[in-house]
Amino acid sequence: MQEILNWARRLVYPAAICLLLWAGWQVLFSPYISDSNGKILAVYDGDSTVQDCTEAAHMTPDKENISEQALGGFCAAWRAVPKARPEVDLVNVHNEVIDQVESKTTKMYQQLASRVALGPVAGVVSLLTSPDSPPVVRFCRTMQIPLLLAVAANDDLMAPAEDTSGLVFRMMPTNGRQAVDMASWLGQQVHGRQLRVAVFHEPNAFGEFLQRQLNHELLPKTRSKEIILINFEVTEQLEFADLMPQLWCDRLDMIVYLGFASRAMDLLNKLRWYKADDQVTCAAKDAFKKVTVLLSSGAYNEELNDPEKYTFPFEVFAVLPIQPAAMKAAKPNRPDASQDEEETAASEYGYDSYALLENLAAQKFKIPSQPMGTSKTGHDYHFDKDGELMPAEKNHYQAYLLQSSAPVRKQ
Amino acid sequence: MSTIGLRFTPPDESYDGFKFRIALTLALVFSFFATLFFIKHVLVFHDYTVGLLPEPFRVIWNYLLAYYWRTTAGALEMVVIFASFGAVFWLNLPKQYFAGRYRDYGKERATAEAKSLTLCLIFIALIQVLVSVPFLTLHFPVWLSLLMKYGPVAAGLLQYLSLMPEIKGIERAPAIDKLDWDMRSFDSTHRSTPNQALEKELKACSGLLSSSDPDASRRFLTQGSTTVTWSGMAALFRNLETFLGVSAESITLHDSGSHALEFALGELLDARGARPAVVLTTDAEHRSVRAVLEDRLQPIYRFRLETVALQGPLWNGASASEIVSTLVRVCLEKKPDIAVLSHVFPDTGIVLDLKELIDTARKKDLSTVFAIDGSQAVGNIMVGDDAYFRSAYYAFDGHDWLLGTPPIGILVRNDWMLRVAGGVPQAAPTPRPFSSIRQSDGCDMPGSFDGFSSSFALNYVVQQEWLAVGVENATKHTKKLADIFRDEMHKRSIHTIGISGVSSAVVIADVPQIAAMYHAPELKRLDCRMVTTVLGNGQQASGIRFCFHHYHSDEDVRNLAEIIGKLNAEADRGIPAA
Repeated sequence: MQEILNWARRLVYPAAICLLLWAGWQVLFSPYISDSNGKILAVYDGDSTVQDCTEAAHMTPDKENISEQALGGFCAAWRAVPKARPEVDLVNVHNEVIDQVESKTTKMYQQLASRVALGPVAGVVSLLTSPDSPPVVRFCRTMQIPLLLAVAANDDLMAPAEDTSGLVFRMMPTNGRQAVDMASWLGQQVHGRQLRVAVFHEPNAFGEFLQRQLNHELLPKTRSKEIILINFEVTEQLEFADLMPQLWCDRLDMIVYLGFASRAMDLLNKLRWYKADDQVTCAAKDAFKKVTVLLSSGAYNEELNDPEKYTFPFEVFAVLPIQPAAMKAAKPNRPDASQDEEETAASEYGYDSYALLENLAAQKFKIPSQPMGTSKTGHDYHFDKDGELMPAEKNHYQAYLLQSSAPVRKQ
Repeated sequence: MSTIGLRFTPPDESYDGFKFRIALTLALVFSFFATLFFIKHVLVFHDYTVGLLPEPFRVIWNYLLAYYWRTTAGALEMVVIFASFGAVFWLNLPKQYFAGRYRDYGKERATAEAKSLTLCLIFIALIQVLVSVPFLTLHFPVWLSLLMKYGPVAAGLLQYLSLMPEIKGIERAPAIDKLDWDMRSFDSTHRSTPNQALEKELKACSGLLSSSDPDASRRFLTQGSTTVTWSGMAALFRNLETFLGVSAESITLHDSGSHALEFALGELLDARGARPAVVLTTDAEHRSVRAVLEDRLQPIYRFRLETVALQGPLWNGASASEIVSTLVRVCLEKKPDIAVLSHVFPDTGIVLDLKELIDTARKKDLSTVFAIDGSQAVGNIMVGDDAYFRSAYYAFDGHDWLLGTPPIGILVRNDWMLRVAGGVPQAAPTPRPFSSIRQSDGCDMPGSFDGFSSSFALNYVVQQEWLAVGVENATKHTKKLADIFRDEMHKRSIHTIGISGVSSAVVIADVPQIAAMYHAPELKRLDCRMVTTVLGNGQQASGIRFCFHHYHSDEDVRNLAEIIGKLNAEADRGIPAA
């Protein structure tokens, strides 16, 4: 017995070294930190805070707040699952988001860290838009926690240099993809004539990126003069009214707006109501009735699809990753319809995100992933090695003719 | 490390050594983890280049803060971490446990550089532990993270448990119960506080000796018991055999050292029969030796006693060779049949060069048989074959330098020498009316079991202290302490007696107001001994003797030297010693 004990004692150090080496191996070569029994952290930006998804059922999402809409969808998905579902922890970063840039980042790190420190985490779903997402991406990358970006499309969020591969997954096609699809659609509109296109872009990351990419994508056609691009930067000082005579006379075929809804609405309204006066010396007649307007995804607003609210004398298209909710045939129209059933694109992404995270966890976040089956958004959730959607047909942006256009015609 | 003259590692057996090893283990293991987490959470490897992730340190800092401040488990862990570090490295709480159970030889102190390195390691370990613990919780399931967090501590502690006696070749023997020692006692012959472990042993042994059941008592005396250190008389002799390096058959036990010497001389004188005998001794022997010769043996055997005046040369700083020459000259002149000499002179602590003396005597064809009193030598200096095999008898006691009370005498008999030079027939030693002997086997155990406590005590100190510590380690250590003390005294212009650097007893002399000076340390509860003698010229010489033991440390000696220095300075200025 004593001999056995002596041998056992001698084994303490080799055993300790083996244990340490094994632990080192586990730390270095485990691609992510995720506990299948852990909770799902859902990060959102809401004016009001909801404690859990049950309480979220009574929440009325702000129609201008994509994150709140996505949260509505996410919680609807959680409620739709039977009781044996992963626990969900909702993290509202509204107070942090509205803070100054430096402290905003730190406060978001603090919020996320305190939730991660509380216990095991299965993964994080970010329901934030692109501008608010970088701190979440950086936190999850550093902590090695899998992250699903539900509604953020900025290409730079998942830069290869930050090695987000296998950790961060994006549900939306990227803005880069939007620029490619937009250029492709414009190319289809040439029809053997020269296409004169005014490109308005806002001086923010979204607008500038799209403008740059679009110019780049259309370079062959602009060199061959098939398409003439006239670029305008929509600064705060810019008055669309001052531009109207020039636009009227430029014999434009198309106007592309790369930015967000508020200024886009301003432009559309100016185009809609502009009447050429005596100062306009060119001979163009009803110039704006022949023009076609193409809105970027950020400039789209569900109200633009409501012919009772808006009627435009020209065609208005919006480039969107999924079909606008207003155009879907099965939209419920019952008087007792709940908030859950008032679906928007963001809520659909939110809805899909819940099941998608579980699916990815079941696949051990392997890349490229296996297809995920049916989805609310209609995307084929099949991720490449960078965590982006595979460029399948269902994962492209498409230009949808809005119902407020006159005359409405099918694309 | 030692090549640059610095010693960065504290002695293994000290508590500083324990702290160093624990801090080193923690620092290594948790630095390993911290490095892994750094690679995993801070660095990014891309196309054969290494870069930093964006803002990794802000993220990590916020996670650490959140873990320790915003979670109950984290806060609790932080408290445990700080409390543990404080308890082990600041309050030294485990020392209370280890001191009583494990070897802490000589209370060795760490050097300044070793202490600095230990402190540095402690801080590194603390930081790495604080950084690593939250990440261990993040990376591993609860049970595994607990194993990672507390496993290194357990492994570090295991080094110091008796369960692991052979780690890195360090013998982990049950150690001297140093808390029972009074480090202020610098007297060789008694300890100022009783050794509680020894008392416990004696009490347990006396409990097992039942007067109502003599058979059981006899069994206990011959076989011992698993509940005490005592394992029988044969085991005691085996221990002595190992300790002294002589055969157990040549060892006999007596009531005291002087009784052992008395027995030896009786045996020699008996063997001479009616022939007249000359016995040589010196005036520097212990008074009990003179009492044996003059009061007990001379009335029976009527031998002529010659006394060599050695106190004068000893106190006046004669060299070892001069002392040997003096003794040889007298031997040639007086032709003694028996010489009774101390191996270490009791008053001065000076060591007699036995090898030189006996070899010179042999060369001069002297047939003197040497009976050596080693009471001040065994436990003080290394006593080896030179002493045991050149002398006919070597006697010492168990309560002086061996620190085992009650007293017991041990006699090493050189059978060959006795037969050839002393004419003593080869036979088992037999008791005489004036001197007792204790048998080495249990066959003739006495009816009364009183007086065995000294055997129990001797067995205990030999087994639990001297064999555990190692006599060579102990004497080396005490010699170093004596050297330190001599140096400190010389720095303070205080004269020390003798030139010997071997003995661990040092006598200071020529001190003003020596009696007051002797009593002043007593008031400070420092035990030492006043020695006084009359020199050959009728002058009286006085000094204070300090003995250093294995339970003393450098610091104890320096503290003592400082006190002596202060007292001496005050005495020089004419201030009465307090």
